[in-house]
Amino acid sequence: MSDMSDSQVILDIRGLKKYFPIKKGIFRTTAGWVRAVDGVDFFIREGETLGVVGESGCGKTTTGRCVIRLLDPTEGTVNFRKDGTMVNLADMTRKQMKEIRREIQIIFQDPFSSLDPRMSVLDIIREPLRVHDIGGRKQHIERVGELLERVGLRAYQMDRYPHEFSGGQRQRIGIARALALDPEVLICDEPVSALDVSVQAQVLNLLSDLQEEFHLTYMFIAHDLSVVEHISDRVMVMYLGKAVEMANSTELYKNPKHPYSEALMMAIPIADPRLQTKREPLGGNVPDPANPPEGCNFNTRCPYVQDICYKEEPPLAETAEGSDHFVACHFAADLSLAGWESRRSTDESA
Amino acid sequence: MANKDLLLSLEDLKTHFFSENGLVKAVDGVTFDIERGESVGVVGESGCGKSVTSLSIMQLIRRPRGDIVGGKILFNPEDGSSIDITKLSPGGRQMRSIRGNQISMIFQEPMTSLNPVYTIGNQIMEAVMLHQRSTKKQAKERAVEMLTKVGIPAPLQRVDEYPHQFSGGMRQRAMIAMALSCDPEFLIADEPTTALDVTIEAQILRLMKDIQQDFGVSIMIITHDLGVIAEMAQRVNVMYTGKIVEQAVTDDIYHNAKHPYTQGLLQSIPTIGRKQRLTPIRGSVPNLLTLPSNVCYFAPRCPHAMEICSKQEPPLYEIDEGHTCKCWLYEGSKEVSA
Repeated sequence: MSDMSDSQVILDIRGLKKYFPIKKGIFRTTAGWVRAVDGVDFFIREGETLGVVGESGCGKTTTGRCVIRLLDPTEGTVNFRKDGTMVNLADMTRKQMKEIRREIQIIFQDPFSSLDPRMSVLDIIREPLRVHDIGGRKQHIERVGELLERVGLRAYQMDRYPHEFSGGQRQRIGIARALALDPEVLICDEPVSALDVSVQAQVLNLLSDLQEEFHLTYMFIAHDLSVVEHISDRVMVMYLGKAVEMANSTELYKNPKHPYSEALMMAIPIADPRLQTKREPLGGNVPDPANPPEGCNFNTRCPYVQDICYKEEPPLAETAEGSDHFVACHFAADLSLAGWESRRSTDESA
Repeated sequence: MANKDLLLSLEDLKTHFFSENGLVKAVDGVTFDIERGESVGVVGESGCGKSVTSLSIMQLIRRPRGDIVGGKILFNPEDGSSIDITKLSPGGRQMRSIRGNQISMIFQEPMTSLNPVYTIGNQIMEAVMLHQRSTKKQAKERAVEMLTKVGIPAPLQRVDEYPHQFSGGMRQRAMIAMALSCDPEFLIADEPTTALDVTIEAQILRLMKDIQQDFGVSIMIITHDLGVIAEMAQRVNVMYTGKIVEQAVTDDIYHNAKHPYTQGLLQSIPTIGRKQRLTPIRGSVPNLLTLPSNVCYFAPRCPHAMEICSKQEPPLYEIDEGHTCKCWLYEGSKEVSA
């Protein structure tokens, strides 16, 4: 990927790895490593939404946390464009990182455990302002009121506590807190998966409006493929700690180039009885990330597997110069894979 | 029973909970039928009463905190008898011979519903030995046979393993094996794939469809996921705040929805290939403790609400054959007595 030259790129991640030790015995010696993220390359352009999808344990959450340094990467660079120059977040000290967190913020999945139950909404939302020594109590009250109104709550609610709010409202509070410092990038880690369907739509619309109004860049991590397609400009598919495909979302869902992406397109539960797949679902399970297979890490489940897939690991490469479609498969050019639309044609004729 | 194909019918079922803060009408007048060999979906958001409906059928409502306070659950097993489950004592012999034997259930979280200190085989054998009065050897053979049927590789070895040695998808397969081990006539699946990843979910849904054909078992699938319902159910009941608001065959629910809540749910979910702004339902699900009586509970969130909606509860109208809807918009259609 040669996108350092692309002036729109705000985050450029190369060779990102995060290994967690497996401790054993009374001396807690390290018996092995869980390779949660095992060499991921991707970039995010300013003002866009990059969706990150994959099944549990694929490393999508760990990747997001490494970007904002809630976890320290084992290896790799996390380049962030600050005032026109690229800085590597992976090398930064805590103090330097604190400054960066004005620009990059995070929204968590569970609006129940991510808000301190003993803090009022005012204190929750103004905490980032206090940490960064911005303004006094009077300014905070004004700013918090403004933020609450902006996320669809009422300013007078700032004296209340989290338990007085529903799940959707709590997620709005989490969003207001993330916006308090006027960041450029928001990492949204499964922001709607704990919400009821009708409330999920409200929060998705809010995120879209905020993005437009404040020119935000989103890294949107989720397992729900319909939600990701809806909100993302581009999508990255992860499998077992690696990025297997990254492309424009409409393109990726219509013309997946990686066999795993194809399997996902066949497996999406689509809310339309006329769009049910007749294909056999992908078999097997995700291998253990402490002991990933040699070669291509999808070789244990891939229906198109060849000899080379057991020996050589395919790199993530652009399908053609300028296509902006990246895939990590030895046979990306040869395979003709089916997108979600194939479900429509087969089933309507049936 | 007039209809001999009728396996189970709920008639005006009411299950209420008596909490410290007041009465919660979790299920409040639910009526629907399940025919032999059919798969019926129950869909709704959190707190709509879908899980309490299934726990009522199994007589698993914990007293005295909650109780079935009205209505009937008529179960017509193949032997020709007809039993009103609400009349049975939850711990009595007759209910115990139905639960897990003629009616069985699979739950959302396969890790918490399996016992971690017994092997998978032991847990399947327990049900078989209890209900079928078979010997230990026969029961073990049955366990291996069931594990094979649900697609667990190396069943002879796996039967002696513990739940933690199984992956999430494998655990759900083992749960299904256990639920089917006594050849039930009716299987209740409460959010069976919610905890699973999408490719594993597809495997489990496929397995459940195959099993329904092979075993001829009727399935009631309970979920919040409209995608899962679309794939699995032949008929759908949409629930909201303890009541069924719409019933129809699956295709009508998705392509000819009549109730504003059903329409709202379908417009709330993102559709692949259509990047339009979503149309959410305004507000959120109300607190069941503070609901007024004799009104339409959806009225405060409904885009079509009229004056009558907050004054009187709408009856159930039959809009088409087999398609009913509880909404004043259809006043003038034939009323169905609940």
